[in-house]
Amino acid sequence: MNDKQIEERNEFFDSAVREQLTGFEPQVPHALWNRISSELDKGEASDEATPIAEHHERTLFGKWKFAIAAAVLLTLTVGTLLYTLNPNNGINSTSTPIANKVNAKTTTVGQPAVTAPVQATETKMVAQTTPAVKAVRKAYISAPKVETPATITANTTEPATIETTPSKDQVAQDVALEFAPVTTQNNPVEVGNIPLASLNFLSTPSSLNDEITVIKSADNDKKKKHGKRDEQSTKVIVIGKKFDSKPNIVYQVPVRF
Amino acid sequence: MQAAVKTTYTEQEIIAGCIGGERKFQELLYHTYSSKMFSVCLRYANEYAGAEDLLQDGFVKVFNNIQKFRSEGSFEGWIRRIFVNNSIEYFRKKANMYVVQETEALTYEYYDDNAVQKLMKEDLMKIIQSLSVGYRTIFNLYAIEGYSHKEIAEMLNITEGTSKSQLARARYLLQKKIAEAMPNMGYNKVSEEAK
Repeated sequence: MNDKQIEERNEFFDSAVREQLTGFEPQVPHALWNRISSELDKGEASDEATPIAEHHERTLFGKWKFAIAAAVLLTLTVGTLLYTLNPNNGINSTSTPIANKVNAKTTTVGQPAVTAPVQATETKMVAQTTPAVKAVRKAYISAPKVETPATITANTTEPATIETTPSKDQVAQDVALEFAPVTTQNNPVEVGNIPLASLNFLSTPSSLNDEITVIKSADNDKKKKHGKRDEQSTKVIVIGKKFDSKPNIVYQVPVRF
Repeated sequence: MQAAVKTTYTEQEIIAGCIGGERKFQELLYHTYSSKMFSVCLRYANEYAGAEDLLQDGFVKVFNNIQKFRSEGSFEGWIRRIFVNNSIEYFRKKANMYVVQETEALTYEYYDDNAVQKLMKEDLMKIIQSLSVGYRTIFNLYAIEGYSHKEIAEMLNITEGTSKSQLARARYLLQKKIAEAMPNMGYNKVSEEAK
């Protein structure tokens, strides 16, 4: 018997077995359906239990997700705040930039004889005068040099050199800060060891009879806190001016000494 | 007056009911196909109890996956594939396939070509079940299910050569067992008459 004959014989055998088994339907055990049914019941019971576990996992995952999202959001918020409030980053978030660098003139004035105590009575005035601040900026840039008002007693015993060089960041920052008002109506004032009378106000009132109030004095300690160090100490003095019943107008006078 | 209870359902209705998890339709499906599928299981299993286990596992898989049936072919064919695949898993667990030499051109010379037709189906089934799991699985896949050696090799993760040689061995053993069993099973007379 050659290979071809063997192959034909085998094919015949396969088909004979296939045909013989076709239609063969043996008796199935009666109890088998009960076994299958109970198996399906077990599966359904486990399926019902599974969603609880999945829900628990989802809840845990959801908590983690929310925690991560909250952490990212908090980081972004804090970062943005720090970046915005940093006076060295070139962004002024508290007010409109006042002007480019203004070089004030240097003046020699005398030192006052009496130092007035600082009063915290006019803090709100500056904070509420946003239009006034704008006016200050205008006046600050364009106001002519005038003499020290008469209400400030100046006793020029020792000359002091004051160079006023404001920066837009500094002015804007100072407007937003809490002020330390000082009245000079009857008493001469000293701000940060600088006799008020010795200051050269670039934006002093147009009339010498106006009431002048030193509202604020702030130095550049903030800059030092943020890592920059100025060789010179810079102070900003905010001055309120009253025009009869009109609202106060604020002048900011940065000085460097 | 009682409402008429529907007792006959179409295949689509039964499938839809099984998808909905209704036990009544699952039982209907079981009774429709259990005998045919039990025949498949008996061919792949070496004993009756093993075939029962295969049938039970197969139907559980059918009910758990019935929503995947896409109505592209016959539903019976889809169920049958599940049972065959289930049997292949059984083979993978049990089979210890040894690589044998190519023995394609192999046949039992004393085998009567008409002996299979003379056998009762139950007796033929017993002879098939007496083969080892490897021979039995490959013979079933090739001779009964109609898979090619390439497909069998992929399904069982063996080489085509192994599939061919195992099939040749399986045939040889079946022919020999049939030839030897016929006198013992009371087929002597028939066998002699055939000769």
